[in-house]
Amino acid sequence: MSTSRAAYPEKELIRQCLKGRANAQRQLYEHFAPRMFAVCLRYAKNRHNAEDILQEGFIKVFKYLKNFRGDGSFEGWMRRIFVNTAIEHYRKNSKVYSVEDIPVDYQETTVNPAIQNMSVDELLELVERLPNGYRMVFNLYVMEGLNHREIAGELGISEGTSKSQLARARAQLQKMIAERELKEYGTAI
Amino acid sequence: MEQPSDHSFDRAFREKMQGVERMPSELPWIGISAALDQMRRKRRRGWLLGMAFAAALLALLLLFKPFSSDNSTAGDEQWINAFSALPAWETPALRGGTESGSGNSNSEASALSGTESTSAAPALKSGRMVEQGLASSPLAEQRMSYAAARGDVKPAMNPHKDPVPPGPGMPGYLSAIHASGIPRDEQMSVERKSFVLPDGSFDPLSFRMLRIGFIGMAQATSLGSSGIDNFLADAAGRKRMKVRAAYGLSAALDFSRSFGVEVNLLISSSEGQAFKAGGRRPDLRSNYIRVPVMLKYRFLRAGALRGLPEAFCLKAGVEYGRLNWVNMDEFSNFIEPSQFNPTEFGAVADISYEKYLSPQHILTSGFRARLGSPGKAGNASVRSAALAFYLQLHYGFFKRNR
Repeated sequence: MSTSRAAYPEKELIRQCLKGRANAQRQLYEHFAPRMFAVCLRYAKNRHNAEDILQEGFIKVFKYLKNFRGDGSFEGWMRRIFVNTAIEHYRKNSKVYSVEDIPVDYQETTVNPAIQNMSVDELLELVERLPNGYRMVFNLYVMEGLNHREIAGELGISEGTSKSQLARARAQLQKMIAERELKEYGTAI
Repeated sequence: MEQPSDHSFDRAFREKMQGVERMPSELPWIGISAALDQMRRKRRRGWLLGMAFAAALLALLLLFKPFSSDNSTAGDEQWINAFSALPAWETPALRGGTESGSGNSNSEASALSGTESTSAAPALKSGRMVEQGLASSPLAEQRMSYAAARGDVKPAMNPHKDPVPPGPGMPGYLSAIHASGIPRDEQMSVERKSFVLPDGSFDPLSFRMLRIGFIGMAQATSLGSSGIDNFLADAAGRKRMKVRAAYGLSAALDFSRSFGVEVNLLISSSEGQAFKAGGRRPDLRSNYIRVPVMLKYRFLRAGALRGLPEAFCLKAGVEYGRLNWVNMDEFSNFIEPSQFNPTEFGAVADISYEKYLSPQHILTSGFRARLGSPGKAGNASVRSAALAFYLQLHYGFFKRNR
């Protein structure tokens, strides 16, 4: 698939899609699929699962395109749909086990600079390895900017669980990064 | 309040992930294009269904031809029979006639088939009794007046083409009744029974009527739920429920003076704020296509003999709603249409006042209440309820009651 930018300007592309033009729909997909797929990869447990979310999300985009009011960013609107779809997938496919609200000490470590040395794919791979609940909470908190109350409402968990899952996700990611650094360079940075 | 993502680790992660693009395989597009094809087919099917519905509506309208344009005499046989079969339609004048002439006064049927009426009946059938000079018998003339008064004589709307004795809705109709020699109280009875206004026009309430028209509503909706503050007010007590419009088509069939049935096709919007979820109060807008089907009872009817009719109506019935779209403002991340129930059933009750602007134009104003079945909004279970004020304008097509 090519990554060529759409021939139409965004608004025109949307208008053509609303008319049901197959060519415009394909262009819209090609234009936004790479960015949306990156979002899906962060929420999914594997690539196959991410493609399912991408497919379902785009079908929703085309179905509800008429609802886009045009008073905000179209990409932002699309992104919300994909995040919602990912949450739906998580709800459908995962049993949420409530984790006891055990505080996990977060330490500012030297791991953070290591992130800069990692490729995005390596980082995505580490995120994929997180347990489903940890990954969801981590993404919603860090990438979408939701607070624990909001996350609790979305995932049907308590605020305490959200907090502890976030702390555990951070700790686990840091541990995996440190291990990787150790393996790679024989020492943590 | 905790500021999300103030850790350096989070910041580093976020920066790394910003603007990332990854190519998916061709598989998602194959699934998407198949779904898009299906949506296109569905849309085409919708158009076909709409056209079929329009054709059916047109056929229905043709069946309910406006009474005023019906000047054929094809149905005369039926109304003569109906007239003949009336059991208690005797007046002193009629009795006198039968006593003096036919010797067969048990019923109008026998009177019509009596000796002097044998020539009158076919003349009535053709509606040309007067013109053909066949109404020579006083009794036959009397009967003709009765027939006209009862509305059983088919009125000719084009008197030059098809001159008939004056009938309801025609100039001179009341004069015909008054000149018939029937006592005044009988005349009143005749007037009442024929549902004719003093100016000679019809009382539309007495006819079966198919109405079609438009309806517009101003409605306020509330969502009752434990997870949603609902649209009524936020925690600070400020009203956040917004009155939104509903509009659409309306069709009704009045079976009789009292009963009828009404169906609407409404595009119904509601808007409000105060979702509890997430601590934010996004603006929720929903739009349903609603189809209420109601039974109507008219009461306190007035105007049968004076002026144009007016009546109060009670309506009650059921409603089917289908989610058209739902939208949230920019600050809402996690509500989308698929999280709402696509269908909703409910009960509707309505009180209204209808006023005939003309025998065929009816303006209705009223209040309608709706209670929906439990549904979903985000994670919350909700039950919507609405109160609406509405105006409705109908155009009516008559079909005469037999």
